[in-house]
Amino acid sequence: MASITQDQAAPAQNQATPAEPSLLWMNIRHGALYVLLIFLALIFVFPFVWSFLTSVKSPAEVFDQGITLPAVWRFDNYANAVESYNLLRYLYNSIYVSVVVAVAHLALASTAGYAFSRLEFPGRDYLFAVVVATLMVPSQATLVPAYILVKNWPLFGGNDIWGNGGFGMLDSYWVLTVPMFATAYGTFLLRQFFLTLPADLEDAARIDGTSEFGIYWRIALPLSGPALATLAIFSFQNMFNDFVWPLVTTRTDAMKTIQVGLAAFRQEGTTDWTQLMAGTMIATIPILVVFMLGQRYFTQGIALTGIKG
Amino acid sequence: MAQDTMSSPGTITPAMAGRSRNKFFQKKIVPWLFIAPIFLLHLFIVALPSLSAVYYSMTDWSGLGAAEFIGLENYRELLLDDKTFRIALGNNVTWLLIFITIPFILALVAASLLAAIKRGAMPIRASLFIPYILPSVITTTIWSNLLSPRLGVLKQLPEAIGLPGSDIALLGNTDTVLPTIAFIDNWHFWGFLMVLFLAAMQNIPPDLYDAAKIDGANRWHEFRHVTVPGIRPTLVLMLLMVSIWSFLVFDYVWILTQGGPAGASEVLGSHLYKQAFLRFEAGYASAIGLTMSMFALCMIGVFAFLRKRGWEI
Repeated sequence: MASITQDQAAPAQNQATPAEPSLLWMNIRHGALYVLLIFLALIFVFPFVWSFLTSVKSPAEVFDQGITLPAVWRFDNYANAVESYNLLRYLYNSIYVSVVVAVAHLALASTAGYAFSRLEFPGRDYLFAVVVATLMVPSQATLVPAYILVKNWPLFGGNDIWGNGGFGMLDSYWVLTVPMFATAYGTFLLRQFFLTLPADLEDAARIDGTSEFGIYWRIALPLSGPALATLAIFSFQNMFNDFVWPLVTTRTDAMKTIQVGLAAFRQEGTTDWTQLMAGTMIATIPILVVFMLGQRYFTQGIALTGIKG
Repeated sequence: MAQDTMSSPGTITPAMAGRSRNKFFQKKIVPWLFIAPIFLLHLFIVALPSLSAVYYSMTDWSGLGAAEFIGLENYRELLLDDKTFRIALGNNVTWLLIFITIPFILALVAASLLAAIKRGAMPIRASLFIPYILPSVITTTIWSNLLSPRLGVLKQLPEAIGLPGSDIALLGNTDTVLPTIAFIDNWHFWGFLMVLFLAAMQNIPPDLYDAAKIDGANRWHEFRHVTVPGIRPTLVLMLLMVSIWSFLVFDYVWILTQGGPAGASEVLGSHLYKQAFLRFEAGYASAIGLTMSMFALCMIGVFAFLRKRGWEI
């Protein structure tokens, strides 16, 4: 600190009041930092502003108009988008699937994470290593076989007992949810969290004859609020944003998720940018709401593990 | 007490039997019940498909009917005859080079700026991070609107201040398409790195910075000799993960160009998708999938090798 003050403040001032000029300088530097950061943030906000403006313009205004506000703010673009794109159905599908998967992840990852951290059984650490190793298997490696597996699932969607003849699980909520239930990430996250809990409470309960499930349910879970919130938010976001799996496993319009539905409109070469952007804005809302509610857990979760779900 | 020990060998009371049976159940059975669901799911969803992928990759198969076993023929064709595969692999390598530099530099700069301020950091951080939480379809739609030659920012923004605008279709030009897609993906992705680095930087003990200042270090020296070593584990893990992810990219390419124009933005992921779901070559697609995984695995190998060579990573 001393050397910086000497370099940058006038020597006379420095001798008289050593703290003052350095404070002024610090303030200027601090101010410049804020200006720079806010400028950076504006660059990143700009695309959203532009998109929103497009979504309330008339189709003619979108072309060659320069950067202008719309003459009339056409919020009926939103109503039209909802009407012509089946948007509400897509949104419903996405939210439903994301909630189901998030709840399943909470149940499955917390029980498995509890067992891997607190219970003793032969081969425990070996099995845990196997589960974590599956994090490294890229989904592309298993995409085709997984697709064939769900397509040939016996006694589903017109299939006979050998899995032939129909479409299996394809194009159903089953296929959008159940194959997504495996969560090595969640198991890892919750195991690490359970390991940090004090063992005394559990041991006391065990001596009192509480069952293992009772300890898990009444002691471990209530202490794990933040970790569970983190996992729930991550799982929801991942499922809501997922693209490849819904793309390959849905066929009918009624089963499409919002991502697949919107992508299809884009690729049809739609020319009505106003409606498309209105639809895009609507599709952004759920994930923004989740982000606003759980921002703390979001960033904590990322910082905690450094791994995407 | 004495009575108890005396009677124990012969007579076991029902209550005792119940407790020991219960104890056996709690100790030997319950743990398996706890992990059974996740284990079965991983078996069916990850392990089984992984193994069958190995078999499928050695067959000529449309995905329907009988598969014809052809050994390593798919791999031979892929590595020696498939021009698209070669272009795609080259694009993935370009992608890798872009993504292990630009977002890292951006994220390091922004994180070290943000780490220096206390008040008001939250909204700034949030606005930089929001693109990361958005789904690929949203970010791609926003940017294809922005970059569209007739109505986009490249034309309108310069013209608004009297400069000539450009109406190049960045996504329709074989020279610019890949960097443009990478730019859009990066716009979405780098905030993730920023949050991660910021968290790591906040864990660096402040005394280290004080000590550096006493030694007369300027901002760059501080960054180079305190910040970077302080976040090294995070930095290296992310370099590894980004290297792996670079071979698996699919969403952004598929939504924006489907590998076009003229195959200029083809990547391994889009090649696989086309083979599997448009040309119904399930066997060949499986071979592509496994080859992609091999490249990703190689990245882990490279890092392990460098570490063994004594690199501090």
